[in-house]
Amino acid sequence: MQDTATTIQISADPFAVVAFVAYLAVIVLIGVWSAKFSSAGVAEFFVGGRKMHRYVVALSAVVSGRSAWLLLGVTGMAYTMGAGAVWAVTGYITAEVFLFIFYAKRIRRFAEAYDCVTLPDFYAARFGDKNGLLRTTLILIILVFMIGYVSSQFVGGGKAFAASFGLSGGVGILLTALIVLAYTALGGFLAVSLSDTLQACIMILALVAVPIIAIIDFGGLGPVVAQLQTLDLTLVDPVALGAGALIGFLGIGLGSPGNPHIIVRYMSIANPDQLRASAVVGTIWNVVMAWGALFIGLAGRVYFPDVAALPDADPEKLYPLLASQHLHPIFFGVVVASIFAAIISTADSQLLVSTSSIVRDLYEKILHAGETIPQKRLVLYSRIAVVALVAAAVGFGLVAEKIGVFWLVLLAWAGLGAAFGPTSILALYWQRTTRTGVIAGAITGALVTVIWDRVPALNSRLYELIPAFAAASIVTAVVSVLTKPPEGVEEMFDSMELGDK
Amino acid sequence: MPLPFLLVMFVLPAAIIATAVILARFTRQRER
Repeated sequence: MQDTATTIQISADPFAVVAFVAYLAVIVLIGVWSAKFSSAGVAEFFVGGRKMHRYVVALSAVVSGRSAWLLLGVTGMAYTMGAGAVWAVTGYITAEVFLFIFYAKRIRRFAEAYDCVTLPDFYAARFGDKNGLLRTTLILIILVFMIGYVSSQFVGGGKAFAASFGLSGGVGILLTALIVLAYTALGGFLAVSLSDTLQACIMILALVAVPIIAIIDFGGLGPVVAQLQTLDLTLVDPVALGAGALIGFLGIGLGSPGNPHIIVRYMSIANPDQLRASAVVGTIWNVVMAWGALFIGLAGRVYFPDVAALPDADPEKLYPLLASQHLHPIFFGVVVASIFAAIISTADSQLLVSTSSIVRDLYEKILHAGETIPQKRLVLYSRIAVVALVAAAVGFGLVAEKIGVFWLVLLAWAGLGAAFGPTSILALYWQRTTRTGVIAGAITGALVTVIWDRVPALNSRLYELIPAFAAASIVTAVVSVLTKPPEGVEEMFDSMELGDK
Repeated sequence: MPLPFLLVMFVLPAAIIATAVILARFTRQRER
């Protein structure tokens, strides 16, 4: 999802700087504290040994999927179009309710029964993959989209860092990358999940406090809505945006079941029966954060009716500006921290998924298939791979910064969503799904996403995820029906429903 | 306050949370 950066400086205020630096120090300390646990083996490093608490899973899954797009993009959208922006958050939140309740439990039970640490592990166990073609296809799709995805997070964090402290963009990217690198390489999945949980708390605190205070300062919700109606009646009309845009917004939700950095959270919970509690907490968090962002946009519109009053006339810079005008400096530091929290809680999860594809899927399961490699060595290689991937993402980010990389975020969300969403849903719920069908479907989803995105006549009409998801679903189903039915699937489906192999 | 605005800004988020709670309870009872 789209990211952007702020130009509101906090460097002038010591209270704001202290709040922000304290937040950064805590997440790095979480990495140091988690290092011992994560050094035990790849299952600990990549899925926290499947011992994660239900609320950690809930919050980590929710904020890993929400980048600064929510805090800056959705607030800006609500500022510009009013209540119609509600559909941009409704699709993914609704999709994630069903994922938590139904999909997550099946994949978590299967993952334990067949010792799956990564998403390609799940596909390889479900369909068999003696020649490694299935796993190789999935690794390539993950790496192609994820490197750009992580880069764009670093660029977003770098710009926010740079603007907040008056640094250059390049230095900001390096600082963002170093912070993420430090706790991800040291503490692995546990550090990423715990820091995500802390960041979820910072994000919800800021997204609740800012709109409430801004609305109260204006005299209450009644005067805010009355003023919005005076400015433009369509601001309070949720369907004024038209059916096409509404469907496109709701379609964003199709990305949730296919983004590996979200799915792997479901695989990490200690007890799959507790995913119901995760569903309720995760949904409350998703809803409160999203509607907080919507109310920030609406309140911002009454304070700044003319977009020219915003920094660079950019609606995506409303959130920090509104916060700076209505909050004590120390809480403004928390608001700036919430923007970084959104960015790095997404980047760390994506980085770990990319690393697992290289070490677990490529090195251990393809290049050294059938061999026993000491777990400590695999963890060491994982840490080296995290460093290498951060270096690649920073290098790409520094080059791409000048041409803009935010389009990559929406592209990667769509590409991963279309490649893994339909194929994983069919793999979990339709016994007739075949390995060839999944390979064909995943490639179709990735290709249709890229092609649709590159053709202006297509991408101007509909977000690429919707046609790519549909095409991947059809191709997976048709190719599966045309190829030889798999054997021994009943036992696998029993493991999804009962948890035993 | 216009009704559609009230519905999407207050009823819709409550309905989504209620859906999660109901589904969580329903699936628990079914498994028992």
